[in-house]
Amino acid sequence: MKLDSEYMTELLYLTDSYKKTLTARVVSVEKNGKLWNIVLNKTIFYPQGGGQPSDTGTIKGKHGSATVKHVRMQADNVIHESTLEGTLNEGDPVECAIDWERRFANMRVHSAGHIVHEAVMLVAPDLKPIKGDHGSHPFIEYEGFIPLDKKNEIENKSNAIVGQNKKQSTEFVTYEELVKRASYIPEHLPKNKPLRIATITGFDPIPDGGTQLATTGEVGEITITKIDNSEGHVTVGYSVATQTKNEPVLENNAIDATQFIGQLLQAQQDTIALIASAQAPIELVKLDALGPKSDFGQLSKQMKDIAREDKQRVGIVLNQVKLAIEDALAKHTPQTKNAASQIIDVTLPGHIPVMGHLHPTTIVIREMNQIFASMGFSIGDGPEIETDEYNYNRVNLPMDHPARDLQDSIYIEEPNWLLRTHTSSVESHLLEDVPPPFRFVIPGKVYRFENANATNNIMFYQYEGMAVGTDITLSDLKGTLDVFVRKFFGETRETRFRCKYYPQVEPGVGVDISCAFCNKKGCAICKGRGWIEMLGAGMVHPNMFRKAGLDPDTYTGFAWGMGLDRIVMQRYGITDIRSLYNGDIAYKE
Amino acid sequence: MNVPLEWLSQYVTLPESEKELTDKLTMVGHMLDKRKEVNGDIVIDLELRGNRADMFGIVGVAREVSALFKTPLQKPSIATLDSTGHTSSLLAHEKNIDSVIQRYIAIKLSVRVGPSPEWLTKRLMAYGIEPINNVVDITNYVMVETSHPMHAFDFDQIQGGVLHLRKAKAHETLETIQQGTTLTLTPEDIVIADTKGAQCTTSIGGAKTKVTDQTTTIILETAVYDAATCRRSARRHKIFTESGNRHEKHQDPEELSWVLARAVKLLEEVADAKIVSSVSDFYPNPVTPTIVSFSPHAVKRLVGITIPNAEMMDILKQLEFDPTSGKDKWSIVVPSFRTDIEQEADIVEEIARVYGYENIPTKTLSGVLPKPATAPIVLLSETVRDELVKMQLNEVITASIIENNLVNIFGQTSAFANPIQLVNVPDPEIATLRPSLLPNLALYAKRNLGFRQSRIALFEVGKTYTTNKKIKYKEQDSLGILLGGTISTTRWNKTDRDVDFFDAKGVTEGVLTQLGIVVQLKPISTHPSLSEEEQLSIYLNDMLIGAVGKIHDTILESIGVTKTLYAAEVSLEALAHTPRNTAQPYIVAPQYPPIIEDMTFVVQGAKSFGGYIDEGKKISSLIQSLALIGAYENKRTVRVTYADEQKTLTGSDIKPLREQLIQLAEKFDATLQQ
Repeated sequence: MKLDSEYMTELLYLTDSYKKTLTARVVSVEKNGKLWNIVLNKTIFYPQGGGQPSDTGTIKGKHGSATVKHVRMQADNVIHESTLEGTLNEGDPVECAIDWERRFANMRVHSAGHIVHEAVMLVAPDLKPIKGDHGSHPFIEYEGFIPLDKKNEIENKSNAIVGQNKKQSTEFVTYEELVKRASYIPEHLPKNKPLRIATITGFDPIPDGGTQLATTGEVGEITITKIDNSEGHVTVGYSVATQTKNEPVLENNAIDATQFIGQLLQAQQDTIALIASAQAPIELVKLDALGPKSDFGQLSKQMKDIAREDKQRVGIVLNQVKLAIEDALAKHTPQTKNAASQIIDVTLPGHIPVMGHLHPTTIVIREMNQIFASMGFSIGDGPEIETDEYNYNRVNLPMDHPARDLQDSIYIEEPNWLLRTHTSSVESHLLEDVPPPFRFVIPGKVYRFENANATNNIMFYQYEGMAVGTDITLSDLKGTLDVFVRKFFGETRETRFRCKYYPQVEPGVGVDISCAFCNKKGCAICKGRGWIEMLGAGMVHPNMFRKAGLDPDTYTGFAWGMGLDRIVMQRYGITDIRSLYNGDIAYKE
Repeated sequence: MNVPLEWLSQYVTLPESEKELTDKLTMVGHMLDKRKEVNGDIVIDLELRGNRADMFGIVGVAREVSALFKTPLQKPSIATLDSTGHTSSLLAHEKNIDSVIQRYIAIKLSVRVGPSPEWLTKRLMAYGIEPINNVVDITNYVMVETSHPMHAFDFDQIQGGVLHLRKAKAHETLETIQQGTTLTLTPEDIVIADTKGAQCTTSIGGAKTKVTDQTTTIILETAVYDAATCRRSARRHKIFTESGNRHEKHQDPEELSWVLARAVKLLEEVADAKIVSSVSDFYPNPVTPTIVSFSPHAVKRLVGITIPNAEMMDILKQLEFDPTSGKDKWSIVVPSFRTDIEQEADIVEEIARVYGYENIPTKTLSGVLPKPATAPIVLLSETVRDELVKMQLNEVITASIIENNLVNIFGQTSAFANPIQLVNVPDPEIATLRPSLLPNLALYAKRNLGFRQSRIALFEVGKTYTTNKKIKYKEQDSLGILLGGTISTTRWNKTDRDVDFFDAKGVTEGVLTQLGIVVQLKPISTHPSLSEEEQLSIYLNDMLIGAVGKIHDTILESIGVTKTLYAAEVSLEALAHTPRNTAQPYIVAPQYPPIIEDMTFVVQGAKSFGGYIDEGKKISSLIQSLALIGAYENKRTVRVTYADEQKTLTGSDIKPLREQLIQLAEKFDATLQQ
């Protein structure tokens, strides 16, 4: 096939469909299985296409003679698939002769198609032609609908055109001219080369590449064999009368089995070559190799026309060809272009595994727990539903203590059952239940009557702590909380311990940390103070020891408490405390 | 409290640096909250301690400054009053009123009402009180100066000329000096009344007897009431005033004669006041000085430092304490205005704060390290969190108090029969302590689905609350799990599938297995929020501890969720005290090759093939694993791995085991597919 793009066979059948013999020159001869592919500089052989079967005939040279079995178009060349006796060489002059009877029969069927089409258009002008087949079971397919009772009318009008013996002519035009003149424009017409139109006198030209009779009278009687409306399409089948002077035009077995096998084998070779050089994605290559429009696909369709007695052996070859093509497809490895697509784009994001996350409050609690654990603290736990005794009385907030007003309680049963207003209630239990010495941190939920807003919530978290022993002092309190502040908030943060009043402690301590934003200079964040109030602390009040049955002259201890939510919110950039608990937080995947 | 520095400087010499003053005050317990300037006067706003009533007067602040900077205190000048007596023609009182009125002291004066002099109005405005007239202004001035509220009645408006100290009658009304405010009193309110009715309460005076331009004679009074009674009264009537606020503190009744004499002195100066009566003084139970026994060693014991006795003695004296040193203990007489000092620890704080908290060294805890004593439920909860996060679930924390109607939506049966109702909450519709974690989790999922989160995998470790007669109020730590939406493996190139029942079951089984707890899952419906058909109940030694399954479609419909949600709820409390095995997710790779075979069984009807897996494993130790690898329609495919640690197994070794496995299947209505 080296000549594909270098050479163009001159197609004489297009200009003279009655030419039966020709002297030409051999351009190439190649072995193709049992057959030979012969290309000539010009030809009268009609290659299969446009619904018309190919011609057969002979090509005779000085040293050999070829019997043309099948003719097909490949690129711009006509391939004569032939058996060869003797040799034909490149450059040899040859004498060509077509099987005229076959050609003439084909021409009658083909021209009859044009006549039927004009008749159909007279009866149903809105139909859009789709395709025609002018082989052994000729038909024309349209988009649209033809009432079945129009069959006789179409047949009569067709035979009227035959009876009028109208002249039929062909000519070459440009695409633009074709568009102007033709009655319809098929899709996919090449726009850059001359196109042929066929005209029956009195009708609009039709684009056509086949062989045509010179007059309509030569067609003979036309029969409309069927009108088949289906899914928006209609197929009009027709036949032409058998000519008494010629052999029957419509053979039962129009295809020669041996010839067909030759075509199959050729298709195999061509297709495998096609696959080997393919660059396209494998799906498209598959379609080109085995799809309905492929050589193999086209040939498979013709199986139905193979004589029954030949079907088995042809079928075997068909299968072998198919397997061979499939095998080639399977082995087909993408070439350079595909190799490029296998180089991964390392800049695409990595597959981060799906992760679960702890709640921000839990994370902060754990971090604090860990710091205090290293200083010997365990984690304490106590009830959220409390009695007045443990929530208030035991933490030195007896009935009528003014500080109770700062903690509006939520009651289950007034005045004795309530939700704990602070985690100090757990200290009441620890003092009663755990023999000193002990060190506990107590993270937990507390509840106060609050109209919820961005900074206050009816439920929030406190982080409490208590160390009790016989030798614990305010010095230890300062050291312990200083370590905590530096570990949790950062080594550069400073602590300030000042006297402050809390009923649970005596002496009482307010713990401030240096403002991270202004470094103690005073700014809007710290209200100009340079310090941020962080914890309330102090030495466990002697009344708390007494109420738990411990002697304050024997035991000392310190305790502290702080709000947790503000710290969590600051760390995770959450501006509304309610978001922590109402479902507003969505976790990143 | 606002402290205008010009006013403060009347009683004590201030340090040159304002910062030095405020820093010191902050460190000893009176934090500088804000600083402002009013008409050129600097005003420092101190955050005062609730138990230091004396500091609500400028003289109290001056006394503190005097002690801190060792400069003398100049107390303001006072008038000379007649000797006071227990009875007087100005006062009458009902029986038992001494339980709520500690002291009430009054005097009658003639006055000339007019505008106040500039120095007076300027100081009041610097503090933040609008001037009215000279008499009223002096009562306010002395209140701010001494911390004791005062009141002046127009004597001519007092019917009967005598002030009655009594409790209010039910529904008795008082038109107050606050325009348009009339109080309806209760028998808990203390009132000062004339023969017509109440003329004054502890937080606000009455309109009828107030001092006006026409007033010529006044009764001037000051009092100490029961603080709690005043506080409740103020909150009941929502009347919050400067005087009411001071009445709520534990005030010193001993100071009242001095306060009255100070006011008379000022009224003489600015309102031409003349004393018309002797002082009437209702003081049924005069306080005796508090004497605290103090061991100097207590400072070392509580604070951790040794301060020389002489220094401690000095500090106490500066603060007007009267210490007498003894052999081991000191006897310290507490000045009457220091109503906050009750015991040794209070004295320690006084010494420490003046010594300076900043001068106390920091050290870390020493001594015997206490035994680790973290509560078992805390340890368990933390493990549960870790395991579920490993399984790619996200932890949430939701409100303990939920909407009342969620109980109805989520629970139709007895498990939810007794939720706990709260009596006072901001919104009476949201007044139920959650009996289950599932309502909030489902609502959380709904919100997350609303953000177009495709994967809903949540858990919460938190309390649920119920009540019944036996245990009163019960709270128990619970685990709630909620799954919905799709499961995907990676962010892109992903293959998604919908969450199903077996995901919820798997997570629940998974976490319990990792905890080393063996439970039984039974196809019994016990959880009212879960579908009866797609539910397994979780039992620990025959005790029901939870359930897993699909949330009822009707519930989802009620809360407006269109996707199917699966959930589990397990009591952690029950698990916290259960002995746990070591979770065993590890095996040592076998030395001898295993034999692996797949068997497919056809089951008849009953949906209980799960038990086959459990029982099949027990047939022999040679069955290293038995796992379901496929379930399609009525076919169940299991993969059996036989292995021996001692040798390579042969066909004849496993033949009897295989037969037993096939035989066991019959118990589960399953036959080997031929």
